[in-house]
Amino acid sequence: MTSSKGALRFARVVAGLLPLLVAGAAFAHFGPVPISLVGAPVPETPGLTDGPDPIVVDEAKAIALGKALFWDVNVGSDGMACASCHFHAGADRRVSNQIAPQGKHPLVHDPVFSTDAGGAARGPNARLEHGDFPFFQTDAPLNPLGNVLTSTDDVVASAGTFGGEFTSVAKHGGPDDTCERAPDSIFHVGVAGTRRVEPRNAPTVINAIFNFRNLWDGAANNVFNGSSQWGDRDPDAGVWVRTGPATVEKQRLRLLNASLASQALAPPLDDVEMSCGGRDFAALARKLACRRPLEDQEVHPDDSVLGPLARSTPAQLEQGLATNYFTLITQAFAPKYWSYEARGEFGAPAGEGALPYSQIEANFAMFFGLAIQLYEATLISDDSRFDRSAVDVDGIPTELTASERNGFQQFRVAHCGLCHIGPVFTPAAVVTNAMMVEANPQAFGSETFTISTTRNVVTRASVTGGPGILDTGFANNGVTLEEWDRGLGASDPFGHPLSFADQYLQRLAGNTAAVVDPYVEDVRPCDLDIPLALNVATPYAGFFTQAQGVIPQTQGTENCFIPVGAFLPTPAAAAAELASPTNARMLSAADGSFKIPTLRNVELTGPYMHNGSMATLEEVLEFYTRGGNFDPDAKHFGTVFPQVDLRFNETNRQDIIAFLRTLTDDRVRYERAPFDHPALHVPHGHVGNETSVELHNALDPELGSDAFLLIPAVGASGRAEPLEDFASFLAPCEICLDQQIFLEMPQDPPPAPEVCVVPEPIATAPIAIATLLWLERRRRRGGALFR
Amino acid sequence: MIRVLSRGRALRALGLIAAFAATSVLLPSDAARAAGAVSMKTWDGGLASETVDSAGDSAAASAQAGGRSSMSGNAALNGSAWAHTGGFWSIQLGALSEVKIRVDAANAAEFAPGLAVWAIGDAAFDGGTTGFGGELSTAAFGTPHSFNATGALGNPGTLWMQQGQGGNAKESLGYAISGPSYAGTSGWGESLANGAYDTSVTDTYVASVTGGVGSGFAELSLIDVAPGWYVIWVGGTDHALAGGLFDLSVTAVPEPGTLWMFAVGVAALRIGRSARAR
Repeated sequence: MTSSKGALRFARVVAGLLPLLVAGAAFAHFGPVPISLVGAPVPETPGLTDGPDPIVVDEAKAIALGKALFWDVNVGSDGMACASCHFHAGADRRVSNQIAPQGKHPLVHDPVFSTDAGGAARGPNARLEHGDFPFFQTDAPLNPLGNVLTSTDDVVASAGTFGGEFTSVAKHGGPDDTCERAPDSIFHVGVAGTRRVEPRNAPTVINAIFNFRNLWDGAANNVFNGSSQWGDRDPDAGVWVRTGPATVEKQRLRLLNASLASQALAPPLDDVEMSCGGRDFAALARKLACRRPLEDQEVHPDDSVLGPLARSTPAQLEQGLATNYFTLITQAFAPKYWSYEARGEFGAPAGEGALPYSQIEANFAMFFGLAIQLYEATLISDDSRFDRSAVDVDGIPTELTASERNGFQQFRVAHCGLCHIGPVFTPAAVVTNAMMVEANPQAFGSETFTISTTRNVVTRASVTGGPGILDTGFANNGVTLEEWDRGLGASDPFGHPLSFADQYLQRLAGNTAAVVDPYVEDVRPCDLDIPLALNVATPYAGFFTQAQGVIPQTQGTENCFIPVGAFLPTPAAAAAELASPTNARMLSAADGSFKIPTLRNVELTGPYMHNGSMATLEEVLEFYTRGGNFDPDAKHFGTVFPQVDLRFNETNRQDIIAFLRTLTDDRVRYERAPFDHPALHVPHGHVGNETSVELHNALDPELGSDAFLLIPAVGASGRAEPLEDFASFLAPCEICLDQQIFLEMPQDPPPAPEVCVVPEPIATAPIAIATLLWLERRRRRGGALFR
Repeated sequence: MIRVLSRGRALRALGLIAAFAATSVLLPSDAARAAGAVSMKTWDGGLASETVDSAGDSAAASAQAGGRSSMSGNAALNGSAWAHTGGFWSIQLGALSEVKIRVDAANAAEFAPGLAVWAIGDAAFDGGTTGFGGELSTAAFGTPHSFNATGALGNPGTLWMQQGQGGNAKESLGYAISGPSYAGTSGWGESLANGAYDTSVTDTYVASVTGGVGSGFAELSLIDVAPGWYVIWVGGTDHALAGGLFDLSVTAVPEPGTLWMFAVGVAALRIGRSARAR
């Protein structure tokens, strides 16, 4: 090479690198730029703590109530707290007795456990090890054409309750309910019953407040009805409201953006997760109201929320709070929900002579759900290294390492950021993303690739079987087959589809009665990522046109994502297409789709995917590099496809993982406020192994003895040692015995509770009634509350 | 196997394409021209663009990642090209009698390459405009998420990159597909056939295009090239494969006469050296 040629080549190199050096412009073409969570708006729940007649009158007390309820093992029928499955960075890192055979397979009623990769039996009380993961293995993990070595529809999830049929609760005494218990037909080792395992992996509760709906299948409705998880779908839902000195009536409640409250009502009554079958919230209230919160659990005196209420001193950790649940409820919630003195309207526990329920017991589901939501709304992790880093004019972090910055860009190039979008890294944050897009358009797309980000609850997505309508924030990534778990494609107990997508399709076809959730009516067609109908004459396979019949959308057309998509099929055209055996325009992509999870703190929230089938982020990268495990019709082929660059570029794979690790908030890693917590005994398998279990359980002589993890109480300043990732707990058991504490739950009577006044007329009632009447008079006069 | 289609045959094929054009949608749109819908891959040494302007000169992009069906064969796109999983390389060519553009798979069992070439003119390819003109393919995709990599500019699926529309590409020159022909109705009505094809319609940039395909390679030769900027697109053409690595090379082929003069020169030098040595 001559010197002049060399100089020329050098100049070209510099010219070639310039775009890389100048604000990462070489990558600026590709789609959304991840953005900090700092200052991101939390969806508001009108009427909860604001407005003229808020339900919660003391938010701090409600948060304290919620935190106590979340961590209290007395909420379960046999020692399960909400936190028992969400104690580790908001998720579950247990490794013993965590396998659910065939998960949520809708057609299997007598599931069987699969064997591990080596052919060994893997049943109840099995201890997971590195070799078990991933659950789908090939001889070439990065190659889409690898030969499958093992594939199972088993799920790694969370051990819950022994189940049984509920009989009664006790207002005082031990934590366990009286139930008819027996060894489960599936979860048992020999004759010893073992705890049941949930059919889906427990996602983190941290940042869940941003999700429009919660649970993997969206079954935790955005609308909170006060008594179940089903929002407007539940015809019997309602809360009891005191309407006068001697009157009370059941009224519908409709709190928007309250999915976490809806979610909170599911596990406490579920006979796999926390409860004996047949228990209700009124019974749970009867059990808890007079008890000291966390009566068997130590509370750190410096707990960021519970510290002022704790019985502990700096010198001595004590169990429980210096109050009871009844008091906390009456302090936190408006009197009209608990001050009615008479009984009779609210039912009674089973059994002759049982004291009928009071209003506060009848409304306990509402108190429980809202308190939990208000507590979980404090669990926002927005102080990761990624959040702290300065960014350049293009939004590219400048204070991360070179590896992390490359990972940031490769995260975008590899299409990860198209689904893991916005400040929470999920489009399930529908409201927050929609509120942020105008001021931060780069976070949702670029000249090349923009994701329509509005309040539309459905979009039209690129899936293998043809463009399909799908709920915003959900996707089928091909990790499982649809028949293993239909996810969003399933129906609720009332027969309605879980998805907005299927409701929307019915709505288009004129079946308005099929719309059971709000928001579906508000979908603006021109904001779908792929249009549905076009106002052209030519017939067209993928769209409705004038050939079938189209009508203009009812909404305005300002700032449409795709202006030409501002049309709908006529109801007749939509109905005909929906009924057609060659339907190509009215497809639903809900089947096998699941909520797209946040990636914040993801290094600590394994195992991964709705089926918990991957133990490490490396396995997750392998999965996406090979383009998923399966190719079901609803799979997002445009974002999950074989990625050849990642396959041959280990550096890029590792850099993506390095970037993902920057999303960990050290407050989560060290359990500092607001992520501090009371002590907790978490059932962690049974004493024995998968072939033999000891029978010394105080609940029932036929049930296996519980082993427990002891999670110590942590104050606001956190713990000394960081939380470890899930994979670190998969080491052979002889190494990890120190992580597993074998003991039985305390059975001694707890300390006497504080004064509980549930059955008695309350001293504050006259004041509350007078206040209510005064407020009502003011309202009728049209006067302002304050002048 | 080498298959070469003459320009005459190619033009007849274009007629067929025009007949298919009604199957895709071109809608009125207020989309402004923006450019940057795709960015350029780099050549060896991290070069954003290369120059091949004299006989014997060459450029290469080695060990590039090739998606299995980025150019053709993805049924979900009705066979059409998918810009964001393939690659564009920008290059400046001199006035040359023949420029050979070749893609070789590192492993023919994993990757069946395809390529296409466009003349850009006196400036580098600007990357085109996403969704220009509101074009939508029969598989319901906008450009260039799906685009027409084999049709003449102006055909459906090309407006995003065409001069005077969404980009600055002047003329489609040719394409080669080493994988199986796509049998169904394609996304833009374009032809996606195995083989190498001349799609140029003028002699402004090249006199003709020849080429060939075979197991693990696809090749196009531009004949009598006008100086200026060009852009090369490479993608996989067999959805049944895994996708894999490939090498892209661009070589200015010396004319036979030039080769003869070169050989004479070398011989003269050797004779001179041996004479001096004696």
